[in-house]
Amino acid sequence: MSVIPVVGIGASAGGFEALKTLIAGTAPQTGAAYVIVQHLAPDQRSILHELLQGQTDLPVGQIKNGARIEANRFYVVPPGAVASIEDDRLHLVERDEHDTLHRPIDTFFRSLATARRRDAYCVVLSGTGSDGSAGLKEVKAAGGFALVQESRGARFPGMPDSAVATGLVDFILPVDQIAPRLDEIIQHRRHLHANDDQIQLRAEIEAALPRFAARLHDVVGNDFSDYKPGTLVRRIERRMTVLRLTEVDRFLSVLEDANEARLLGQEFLIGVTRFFRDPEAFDLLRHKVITPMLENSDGTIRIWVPGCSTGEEAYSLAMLLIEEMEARKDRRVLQVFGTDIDTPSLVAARYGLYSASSVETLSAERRERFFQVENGQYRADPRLREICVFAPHNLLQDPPFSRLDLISCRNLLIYLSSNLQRQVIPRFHFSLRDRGHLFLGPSEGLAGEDELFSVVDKTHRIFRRNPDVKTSYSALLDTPRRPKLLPAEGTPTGPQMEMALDLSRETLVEREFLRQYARPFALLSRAGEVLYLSQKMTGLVRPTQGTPSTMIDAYLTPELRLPVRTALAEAEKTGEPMRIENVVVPQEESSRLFDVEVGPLGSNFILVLSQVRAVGATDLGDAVGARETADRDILETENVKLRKQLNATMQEYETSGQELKSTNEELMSMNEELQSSNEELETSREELQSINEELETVNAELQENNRLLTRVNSDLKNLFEATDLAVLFLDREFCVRNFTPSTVALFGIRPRDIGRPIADLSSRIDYPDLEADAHKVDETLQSFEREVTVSASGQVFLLRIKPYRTTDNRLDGYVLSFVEITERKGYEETLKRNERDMARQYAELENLYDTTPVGLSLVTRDMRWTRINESMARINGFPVESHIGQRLDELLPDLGGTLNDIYREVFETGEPCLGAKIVGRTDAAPGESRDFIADFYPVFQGEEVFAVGACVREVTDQSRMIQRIQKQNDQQKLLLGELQHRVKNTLATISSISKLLLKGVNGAPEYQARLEDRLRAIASTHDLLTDADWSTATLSDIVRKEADPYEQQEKERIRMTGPDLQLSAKEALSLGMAIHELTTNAAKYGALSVEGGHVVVGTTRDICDAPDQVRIVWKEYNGPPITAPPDHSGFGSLVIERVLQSDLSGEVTVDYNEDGLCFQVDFELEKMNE
Amino acid sequence: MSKAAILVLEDDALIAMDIEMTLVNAGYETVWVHSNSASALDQIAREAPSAALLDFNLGQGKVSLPVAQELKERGIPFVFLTGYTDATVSLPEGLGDRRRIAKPFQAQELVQAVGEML
Repeated sequence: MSVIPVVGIGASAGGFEALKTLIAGTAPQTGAAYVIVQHLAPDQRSILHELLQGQTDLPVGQIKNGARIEANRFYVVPPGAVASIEDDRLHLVERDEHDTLHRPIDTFFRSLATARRRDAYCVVLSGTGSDGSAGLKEVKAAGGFALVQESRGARFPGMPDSAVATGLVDFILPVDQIAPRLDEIIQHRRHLHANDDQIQLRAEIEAALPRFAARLHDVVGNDFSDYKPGTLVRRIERRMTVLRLTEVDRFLSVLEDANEARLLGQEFLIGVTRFFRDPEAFDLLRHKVITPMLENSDGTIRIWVPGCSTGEEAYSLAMLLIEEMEARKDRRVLQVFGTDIDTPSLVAARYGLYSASSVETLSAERRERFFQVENGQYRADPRLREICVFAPHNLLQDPPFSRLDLISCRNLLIYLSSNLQRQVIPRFHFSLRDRGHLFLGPSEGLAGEDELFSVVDKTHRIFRRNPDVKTSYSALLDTPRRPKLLPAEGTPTGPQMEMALDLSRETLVEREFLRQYARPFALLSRAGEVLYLSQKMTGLVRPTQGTPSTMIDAYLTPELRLPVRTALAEAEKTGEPMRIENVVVPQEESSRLFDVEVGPLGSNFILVLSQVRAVGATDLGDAVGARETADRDILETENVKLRKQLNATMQEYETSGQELKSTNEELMSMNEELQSSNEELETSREELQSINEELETVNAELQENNRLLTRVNSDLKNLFEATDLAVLFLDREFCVRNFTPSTVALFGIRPRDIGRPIADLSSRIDYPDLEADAHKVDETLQSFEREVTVSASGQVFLLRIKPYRTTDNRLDGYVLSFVEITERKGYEETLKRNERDMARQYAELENLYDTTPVGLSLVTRDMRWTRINESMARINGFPVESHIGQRLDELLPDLGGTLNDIYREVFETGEPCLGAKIVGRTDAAPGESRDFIADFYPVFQGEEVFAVGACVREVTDQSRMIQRIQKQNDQQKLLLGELQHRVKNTLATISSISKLLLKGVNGAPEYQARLEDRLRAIASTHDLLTDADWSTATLSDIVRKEADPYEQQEKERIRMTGPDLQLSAKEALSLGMAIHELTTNAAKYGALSVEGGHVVVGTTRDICDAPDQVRIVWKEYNGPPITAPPDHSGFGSLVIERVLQSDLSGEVTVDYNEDGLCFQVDFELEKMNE
Repeated sequence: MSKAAILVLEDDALIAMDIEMTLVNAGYETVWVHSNSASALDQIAREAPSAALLDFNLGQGKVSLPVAQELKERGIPFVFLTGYTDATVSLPEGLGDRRRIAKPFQAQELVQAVGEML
């Protein structure tokens, strides 16, 4: 998870311009969050965030309590609140009204340092005071970065200068370069973070630590080689980030520059300390250590604070002890030693001046008691400063202090490797008195040397020396490695930090020199006050009795007073050093001769005494004499001078007096004038007062207006944001006036585009007719709509242009709203398509319904047609329209009854009736019975049958065909029966004939001939009958057939007369046989047996007036004369007489006349069916 | 020689003569031959026969059923002579059990049938 870097920006008076520039220069995707802390009156309403929003596209907003930190945003701390960071959220706490030490920037920076550590960045901009500096220190200590506005460019350089004075600022830049630099560093760090490069880099750094330590040892003199690598690596990495280096070797080569090496050394030494750090621990200390310590020990109380840095810890202990000791009225001497290898910090500690935020954590009591306010900062009380002694000391290299009651070494050991720690702990053991105490920082321990100490409080790391264990450390064995003296390397310019380093070395040496070797000197003020004395000078001081004063004349030894005074006056006049020689100053045994020199030193003067030599008595006399003369001369000169001065002064005084008088008079008149003016002014004042009151009212109104306006504005803003409608406001020149957020999707538009013509902006909509449409709107004063499309995405919008009317109904532009109707259009298209499809389908169905050859109809419960198709209408014999609404039995009277029954059944049961056979008549073919097959099916609406549909097919033709076939089948059956009957009968007849022919036959051949002959006759009659489908045969055909063998070509031997007779089959067969017998007999014995003989067959109808009574007469002529009637018992006679009679149910008479046979038969013709 | 009188109802004269001849040869002296139902019924009314041989189909669509009916009522046994098989005609109820002799008949069969009837 990557942490979002946070940049804290502190600004106060004059910071607004700087903020604007900073924000405007911030790149959009740095990935950092920016928090702006300002000094605001708690009830001052601030619209800073709004004003700043105009400078950037990144969101600028006031912090909401608990807001989650998001990258690429500016957060503004609202007035009346103090901000801090916890985890990933910004917290606001209400500002304490009574807190005079309100340092919101420090508070935030401190919280930032803790929360973000190396991802913390602090920026200090223009402002008065020193808010931000303490917080900056903490940010740096945590591994973060500090950037400060160049004080030259800052309107109020107080805050920047104070920040720079910490000596810990990474970059001091003009404000327009701050944002880009920040970006660089953030990106550099992110780049490092993002890659495994960072891990690799750290590994490289760690591997190179010996080289770093060696270089630093060369330059700075401190040995960091055995410090815990972690912190060192981080600090080196940080420094590399500041210099934007990514390679260790490159950095090492940079460190060839001693300045850089010193800066790195300084980085290593960054430590953070506070007054009473971990207050509970101090409380516990008071109870468990200090109280017993004061009770049990005697003699001076000695306390050592190694790694004291800027001295807060030492002063804290001192305060604690002073309180306790005063409470017990313990007047012993207290000494607190604070040591560190960081000399600038020691200088600061010695000076004892702390920022207001540093002393914030102290109780007001302590502040009051132990500090004095100096220009907004707090200086430690001289008493406190006396008690605390600060000196440089390297814990590892220099011999430790000894005979200590308490050692407080907090948050130093954690920076050391366990090896080093193991060296330190025994030193502590050595340093402490019998049962002295050791106070370590949280999470610090004894590095394994547990026998040396016993635990007093484990949680708060308080230990007591174990006196029974022999100390393992010996100072004698320790080879001290003194830090080398700094080589002289030119005058240090640049940051004060360097100077401080040099200064410390110089100071040391110089002080020593001054103390031991220098001539006596002192610092004098212009007024003649002795401000400082060197060691050697102290011998030349002889304060006068009376109230002590440090004026030269009251302080210095009398012999020096005059010369010094003179020299001082001269030096002051000329600005050059003034020397007065041969001043005799008596000292213990002898007098000494000095040359007195006074020279300017800044706004003060430095006095130096150069001893000429020790003088012998005679020389002394001379010298004294000379001195006295010189003195007298000097005195006289001075006298004269003084007198002159006095004269001049008196003259001046007189003149002044005159002038004053006249001035006085002038003044008096002016006074009068002023009086009247005053009165006028009084009047004006009253007028102004009333105007003022009016203005107050107006102001109040305006404020109210403002308030309303703000509200309206925010309403509008909310409205804009809440609406999904894209609405664009243009003025009359088509420049953008305002727009809703949704418009961004259509036009590439941003808040900063307000005022630009819309034509300039990119648009996804193709809309060339804007002007034309706008004119239309101008003319008609109505809104105008059109559809516009985004060709790229296929979206369709409904654009509505309305005139923009101001509240006084003036036209002042145009309002364009875009409603996305892509979906709607899509739906419209689909609907249209569906409609078309449905219409088509409906048309198809209708067509189908109408044209199908099957009759379809729909009938409601009241037996009325509600729908019917062409086919059915045709069946019924009426046009379609005539059916609708009519009752079934009205149009179909014949079928009505049947149909109603069926329909009712279906309506009631809801079951379809399929395949019903309907037979009846319709008006389509009146009188004709037709056959139909019908299906009736119910149509449901919910549970109820509301209509019955019918599907009807006419099957009349088919029925008839079936009937015909049936009849044919019956006929066939009948015919078959007939045939069988006939065949059987024929067989029976032949059987009978064959039996009858037996009578009187001689032998088989004859029998066969007879039978054959008869059978042939029957067969020929059969043939005739067959020709007429066995229904009939004519007599003439029979006779012809029989006559045929006997006919000769020209003559007819058998002739016919009379009407032909249509005979039935039975009649034909009987007559056929009879005619055959007659013919055969005639051929054998009768007319046909001789030439010239012939037969006449005559028929007569209507015998006895009955139309079917007929007579057939066979008469033979010219045959052989018949002598005797033949035998009647032959077959032929049988046939002629009996059979024919029986078969025809008639009468037969046979006459055998002389001239020929005459045969006659009377019978009734059978009626023939057609 | 039998004194029984046999009624023969047959419209075809030749067949009727044949039957008559057969019966006479078989020893039955009295054979009444009729060619239509009306005269046969007259005969029965005048003098009932002892048995009867009825041709089923008497031509012109007429059948001998009325005579059969009469004979059945009188309890006089009779036999049908027919060219129809069972397939082509079915006798009505009550007469279905009567014996049928197919044409052309055999003399033996005829005589035997008559003998059984008497």
